[in-house]
Amino acid sequence: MTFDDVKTLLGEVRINYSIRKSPEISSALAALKERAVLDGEDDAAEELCCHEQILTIQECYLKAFAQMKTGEYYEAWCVLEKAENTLSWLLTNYPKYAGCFELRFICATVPRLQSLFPYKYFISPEFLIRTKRCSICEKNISIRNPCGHRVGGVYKGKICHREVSDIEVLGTAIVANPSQKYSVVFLSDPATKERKDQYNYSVVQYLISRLAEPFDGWSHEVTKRRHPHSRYSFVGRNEKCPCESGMKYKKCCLLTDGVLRPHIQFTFQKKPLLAAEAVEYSE
Amino acid sequence: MDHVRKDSVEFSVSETSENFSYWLNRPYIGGELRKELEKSTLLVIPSENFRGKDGPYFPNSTEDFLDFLRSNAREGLVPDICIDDSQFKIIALHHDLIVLGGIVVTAIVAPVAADLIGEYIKKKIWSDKAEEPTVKFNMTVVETDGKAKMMSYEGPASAFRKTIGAQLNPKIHSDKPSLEKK
Repeated sequence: MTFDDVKTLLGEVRINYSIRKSPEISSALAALKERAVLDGEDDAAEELCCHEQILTIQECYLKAFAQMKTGEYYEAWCVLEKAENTLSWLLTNYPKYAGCFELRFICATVPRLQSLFPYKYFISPEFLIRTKRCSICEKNISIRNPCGHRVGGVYKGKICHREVSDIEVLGTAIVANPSQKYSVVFLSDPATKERKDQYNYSVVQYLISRLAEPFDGWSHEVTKRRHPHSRYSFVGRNEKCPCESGMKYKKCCLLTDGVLRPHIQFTFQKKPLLAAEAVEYSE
Repeated sequence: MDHVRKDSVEFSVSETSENFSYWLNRPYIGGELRKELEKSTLLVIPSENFRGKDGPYFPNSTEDFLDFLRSNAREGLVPDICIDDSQFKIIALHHDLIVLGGIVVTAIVAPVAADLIGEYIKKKIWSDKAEEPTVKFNMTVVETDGKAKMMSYEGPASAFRKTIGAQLNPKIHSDKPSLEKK
């Protein structure tokens, strides 16, 4: 497989995603990169490294879509984060790729999908880092006399990062804006100690069940709408209002013609798997 | 202290005695390093206390930030960092914030420094992220007589350049938020 073949396959992901053989594309890119490095063609190796990352982004997005289809939501969440991180690296360092290989679609869709997940709080560790070294030259980092290898830069086809060798965990915090999104807070079964997924994924489920293909376009709008009191007949007058204002039901939404709740309206570019062209979802 | 709170931007300006001379005479700055740091017009400075742990400490992005300043320095800007290699330690808080820590800069190069830092922040944001990242940053501007003012910013990345720029050059940024005396 030539580099041009790879670029064609990556460029046509919208139509070939279900039949293309990604391990073969990956192997071809690795072999081409190895040859470029041996030949001292650093620019070619760098370009091939970028295309490896493009393949990773596409594969992560496709995997997450498939996982959401089968109800593996947390797994999909983690894979979306990998897509986000790889996109972040690629588009920060090589913005020229933003308009190619469906990256514009993935770049816009990943954060919108993430926003539909019910995860709001995360465990976040805090570290004191004493020593770290460069992954390229393996030298300890000197802040006054840097080795010259920039984090995120590509050297002989390899992405430079830092490897921490002396670290102390100072504590953990529960945060709403973690740098690592996979650290979702789950309950555990006291008897088996196994993870219990307490989250409600109905919004993600609703969207994904109506998308036939991973690259079908959609948008959504989040508003608030009053819902009939009959839906909340299980809530007592003196209990907290279901709108989550913190006030008593009788002193809040019960004084109006409905309970104010989030309302999400989806619009699909292609006819969704259900009949309507624009489908509404209310929590 | 002047303090402005405008939407989610927290911005304050206060007088401080922590000028170049203060930082060059910290106990962890040796004689040789002091001589080297005297040539700088912009110093990246540490925090000295984190939850009871004695410093100095720098935020996670310091290496990248300093590299950017060194690579893009212009018009009299001579960046350096107020620490020796052996004492360089990082606190990684792992929030999705752009924590740049603090700098001390001479008044004459402060507008250039603010512009450059604005460019750095812009570079750190890649398009279409669901939520705009928050920037935390302190900048101490030192006049030729040694008098210094510290500007503290915490707010959305997009408002950084305008807010800091309005303070440094109010004639250009006429929509500067008014400062209320506390």
